[in-house]
Amino acid sequence: MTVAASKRLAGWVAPGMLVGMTATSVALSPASAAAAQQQLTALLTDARLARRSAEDAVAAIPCDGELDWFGAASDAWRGEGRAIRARIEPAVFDLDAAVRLIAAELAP
Amino acid sequence: MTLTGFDPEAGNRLAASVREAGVLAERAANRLAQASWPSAPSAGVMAALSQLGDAEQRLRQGASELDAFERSTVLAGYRYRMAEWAGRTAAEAVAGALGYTVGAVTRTYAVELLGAAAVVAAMALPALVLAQHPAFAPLRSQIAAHPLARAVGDFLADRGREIASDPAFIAAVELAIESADEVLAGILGVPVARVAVRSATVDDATLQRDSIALLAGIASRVAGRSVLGSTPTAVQVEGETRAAPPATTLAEGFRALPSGDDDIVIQQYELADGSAHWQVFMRGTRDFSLEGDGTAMDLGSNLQNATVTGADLSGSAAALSDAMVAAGIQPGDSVDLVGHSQGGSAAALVAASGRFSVQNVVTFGGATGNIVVPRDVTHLAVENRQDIVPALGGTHGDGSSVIVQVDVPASAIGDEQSGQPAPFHLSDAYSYSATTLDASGDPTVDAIVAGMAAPTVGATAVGATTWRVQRV
Repeated sequence: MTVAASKRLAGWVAPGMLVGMTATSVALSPASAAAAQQQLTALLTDARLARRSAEDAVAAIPCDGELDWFGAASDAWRGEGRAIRARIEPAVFDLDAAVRLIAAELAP
Repeated sequence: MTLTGFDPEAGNRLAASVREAGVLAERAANRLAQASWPSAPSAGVMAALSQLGDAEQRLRQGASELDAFERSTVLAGYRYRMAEWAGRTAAEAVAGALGYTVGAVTRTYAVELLGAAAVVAAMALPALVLAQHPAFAPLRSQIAAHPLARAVGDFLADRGREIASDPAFIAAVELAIESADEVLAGILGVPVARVAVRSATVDDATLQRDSIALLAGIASRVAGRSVLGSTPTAVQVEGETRAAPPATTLAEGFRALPSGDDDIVIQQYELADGSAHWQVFMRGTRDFSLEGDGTAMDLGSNLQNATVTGADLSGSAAALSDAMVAAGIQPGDSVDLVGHSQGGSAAALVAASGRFSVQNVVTFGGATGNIVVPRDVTHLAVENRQDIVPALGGTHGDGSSVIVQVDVPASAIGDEQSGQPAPFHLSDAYSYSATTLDASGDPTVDAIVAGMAAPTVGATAVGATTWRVQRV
């Protein structure tokens, strides 16, 4: 199941699931606990890699420091780049928060 | 501070950066989409998943916006190129018509103009000669010391510098140079229709340089000098200079330009694969008289450089080529050239000649407008907006060079150079520009600098020779 789908599911059934899952987690055997740790570790890796790509994407958007290659239109062009960057940048903060939360779960 | 760039490929290059950002955003979103959901998420993990979902949504939206931004960047580049071309063509047409008229009037009224000049000379020369007589020295001192005379002198000195540094005046000079062929056509009485046909069909750079050659030839003959007929030669200074690490930034390249008695420094490196790589540095004009005193880095060499296109070489460009051959540069060796002012024009001409395997040319304040550098050579022309010298090369019309213009603040120029006639052409101003461009983070400039630095990674300095350019 994808993260997007999980988010939708989380929105619909999160409260009920939380109760059920807490009960389930209590009943987890040591073997399934190890599997859950593995899943979380994989998720942490994915989140970290996604964060790096997102950060690189933000840095790659040309909107600062470039020369005026388009004459008088250069400022407007840079403004467009900055606006897109401002809309993507929060994704990096979201991913930071997610990484922190998952890492906290994994902490002994 | 304003950094302006002119490069027909700029739109496409920046669009590639945007595309890269879009690909990275999409990659991040896809990674999140493919991440598997833990089978028994705790409350903390559920919160993390919610954050990951938000991030994925933002990244998807951003990737889509970057896709549209990429298209608009390509379009912006195309529109600007067209507008710039249309503006330049219109300005050149007006300047060309004006130049033709000036030439035609000069021709029509040649006798009257010569007569008027003779009358003025006949009246003015004796007065000037008398005025220089020692008997008039006290009077000259009195006049010079008069507050009004001092004020006028100061005003002219300041305004002269100001006007020569004014970008509008510099643009006018650039167009005037561009119209040299029309002026000559007017003088020669070539019919207007034929001039229009020639302008449309004949290589403009060659035409302009031939016209400049003829006009300069006439002027130097009138001045009683035939400097265009003699050729400067590079002369090796005894002993070799210290082999230095390769220049890997614009500022390092500018700092490596020779000072003191040397005109050219040629540094040899051995690359990791055993092949030879050379960095060649050439300084600017040393003497502003037609024939320099003990040097051929003079005005005469500037004129000679202005009359060739690279297919043939004369002036200090020929001297640079000679020095490179004498230093041992083989036709297949990779070469990077850096030059300031006259050294920049010479470097661009050597690159245009195709005699060497030139990879990169960086010119600071060179009059390189009409020099067509081959497409496989990267030419970065750094021009200060307040520097009139690059305008003397005409306009960069063929798109073979990347031109960057820097608005240099007066505060960047030290006391010693700020009083000079063209302070924005000198080392303080170009040192500032080189440092500013290095720090700009512009992808085009960075790519050119990286292209110069890349081959020198792991290179070993073999040796260096220094050269003087003298007239024989």
